[in-house]
Amino acid sequence: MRAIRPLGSYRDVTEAYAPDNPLSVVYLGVREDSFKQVLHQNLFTPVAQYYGIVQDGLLEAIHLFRGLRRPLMHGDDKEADKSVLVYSWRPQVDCVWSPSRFDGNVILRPAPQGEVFVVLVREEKQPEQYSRYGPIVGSIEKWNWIKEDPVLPHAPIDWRERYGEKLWSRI
Amino acid sequence: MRTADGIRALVRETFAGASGGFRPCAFFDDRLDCIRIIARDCSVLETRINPYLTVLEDNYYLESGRKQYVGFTVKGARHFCDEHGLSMSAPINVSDLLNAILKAFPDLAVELFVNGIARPLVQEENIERVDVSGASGPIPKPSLA
Repeated sequence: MRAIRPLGSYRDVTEAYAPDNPLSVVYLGVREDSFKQVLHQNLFTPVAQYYGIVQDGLLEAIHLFRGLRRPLMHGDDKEADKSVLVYSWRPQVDCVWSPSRFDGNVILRPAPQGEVFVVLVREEKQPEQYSRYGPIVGSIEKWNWIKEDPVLPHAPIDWRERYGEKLWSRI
Repeated sequence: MRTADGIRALVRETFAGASGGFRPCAFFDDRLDCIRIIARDCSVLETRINPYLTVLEDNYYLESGRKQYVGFTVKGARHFCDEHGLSMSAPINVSDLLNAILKAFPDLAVELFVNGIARPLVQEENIERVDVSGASGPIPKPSLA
């Protein structure tokens, strides 16, 4: 089992296929700030899904989209919606945190029928460079399940209305 | 593929030093410019009502016997709040937010969402205000394609 790989301002870095080439692998990171939000709210299930689905699963992504069709501002960037990448695929499992009185357990379940998993990544405008990994090209911001498109397998329903463009598909 | 015990160990490591469990919450997600209302920590299916609104559904509500809807998201929150006179310099009253949503999107789907899902949810969970402490900076211009 691979450990968490903290690096600079990232809590963890992980591999994914490159936006410009689905045959090439790049590194993405989860920033401390992004993780703090789920930690602050004690959202255990999204954290379990990160380790159980996202961390090693991004290389299973079948589609990559770029751009959200809705207003999004990040810092001074008024067009941050255009720099969001969305990876989607059908994972084999779902991960759920089952709390107990003093602790809790992770339950692995078959993936929900008719749903796909999406991971939202913000492309870094000035990627941080690291000798071991090279540039960290994007920051993983969010992940969740969405109904699957009835026509394009492994893609979210209404993907044409949700996203700006489809960059590639691996089917 | 990871085992449940392996994932559990990483989750415990991540939450090391944290205290308490999940409580229903309403907060501003600065990095994705959203207001998020979350009533349960569970695996959720996100269903889009329109480009600004998403409802969160428990993936396993049928077998657990729990409530189906566990939250919602208001996207493009800075612009939406600015357009509808909701100041983000202080916590926002959820009731005011829902009234603004109804006014902004006068259609049946949104009315059903607000009155049939969102209002009952926040009332049952006693979610009265949205913490917008993460909001700062200028308001974005709409960029819907």
